[in-house]
Amino acid sequence: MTFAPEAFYDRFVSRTRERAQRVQSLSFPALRAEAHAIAGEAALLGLHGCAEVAASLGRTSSRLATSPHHEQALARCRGWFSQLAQETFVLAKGDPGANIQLEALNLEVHSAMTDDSWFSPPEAGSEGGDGRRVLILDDSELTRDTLCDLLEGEGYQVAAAGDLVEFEKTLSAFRPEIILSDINMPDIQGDEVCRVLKTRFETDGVPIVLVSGIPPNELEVRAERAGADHWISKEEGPDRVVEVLGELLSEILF
Amino acid sequence: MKRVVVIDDSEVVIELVRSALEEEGYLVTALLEPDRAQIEAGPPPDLLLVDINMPQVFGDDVAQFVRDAWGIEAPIYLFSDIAEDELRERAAAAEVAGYMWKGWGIERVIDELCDLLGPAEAP
Repeated sequence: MTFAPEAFYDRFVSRTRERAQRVQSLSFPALRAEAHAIAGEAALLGLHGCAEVAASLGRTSSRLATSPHHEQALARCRGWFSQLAQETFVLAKGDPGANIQLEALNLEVHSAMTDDSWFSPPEAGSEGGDGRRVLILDDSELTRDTLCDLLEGEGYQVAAAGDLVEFEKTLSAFRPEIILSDINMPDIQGDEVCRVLKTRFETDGVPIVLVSGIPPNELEVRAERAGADHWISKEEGPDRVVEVLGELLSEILF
Repeated sequence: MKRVVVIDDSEVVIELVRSALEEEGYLVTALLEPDRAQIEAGPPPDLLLVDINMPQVFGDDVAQFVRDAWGIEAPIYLFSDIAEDELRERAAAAEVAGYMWKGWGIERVIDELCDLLGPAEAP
């Protein structure tokens, strides 16, 4: 093909700058989403140094989102974002020196993933949306990450499990007040999990929401048969989860 | 004329893919989010290219509801910049036709799509 991606560099640079400005007033989940968007665009345009920093920034912001030093961690991520936008501008102008700067930035961002000082000392107590405990069971890592970010941003305490073994361990340690479960998973069906939990003394009172991409009419029938408290079609998007949790909590509280 | 639907929450990405595919002669519907009415408007698509990490939908499950809940039959290719091995596994797990890795760069992505689609005009 004869298509020249360079024709899109200017547009990409200005979008990256807009994003860097916007994240200065945004929190972790949005920041992570913006970083991811930049990573995808840069990869496709062949601006690999930029793509790598953006991908690191996405992963690191996801990790630092759970840091007790929330404000400092957020400020640091926003600062990295601004540096990325600046170096992207230089790189797109064809200055190879930007690649050295981007490599150094990537190293700095990446090393924060393993910097334990962001996670000590742990803070007790909860904040925001009452710190209610939500446990997610879903085999898709991307879905778990999306929901964790979203619900933590709403002030929930969130734990997530990718399979049944992890779920059982987390269940007893975390004692969730609400459970969100996918349906189609490799080792178990979510409606079966729901059915079992509803027969156990320790969990029969915990509201369970089945979240699935299967057709809504099938989902409704399966949720009803399993005794689930609610169901959400993935077609409705993650924001619907926040609404449903809010409704379930008000039912619990009043 | 063969039709491709591209779904990605990045304007830069969908415009880039749209420009390149239109240059090859294909009809392109570029969407910032899954939109059933837009997919169903016009001739049936020959291929869907779907980003798997859009904030307004659930990760890689997007292919599942496009295919199972909406009944769109065209082959679906997952589109992402996550590690290629992981993307390959996700495409297999989602039982879609395949994947296009953003890390290949736009030139290779378009070459791969052209190989899959064949000539822009239907025989």
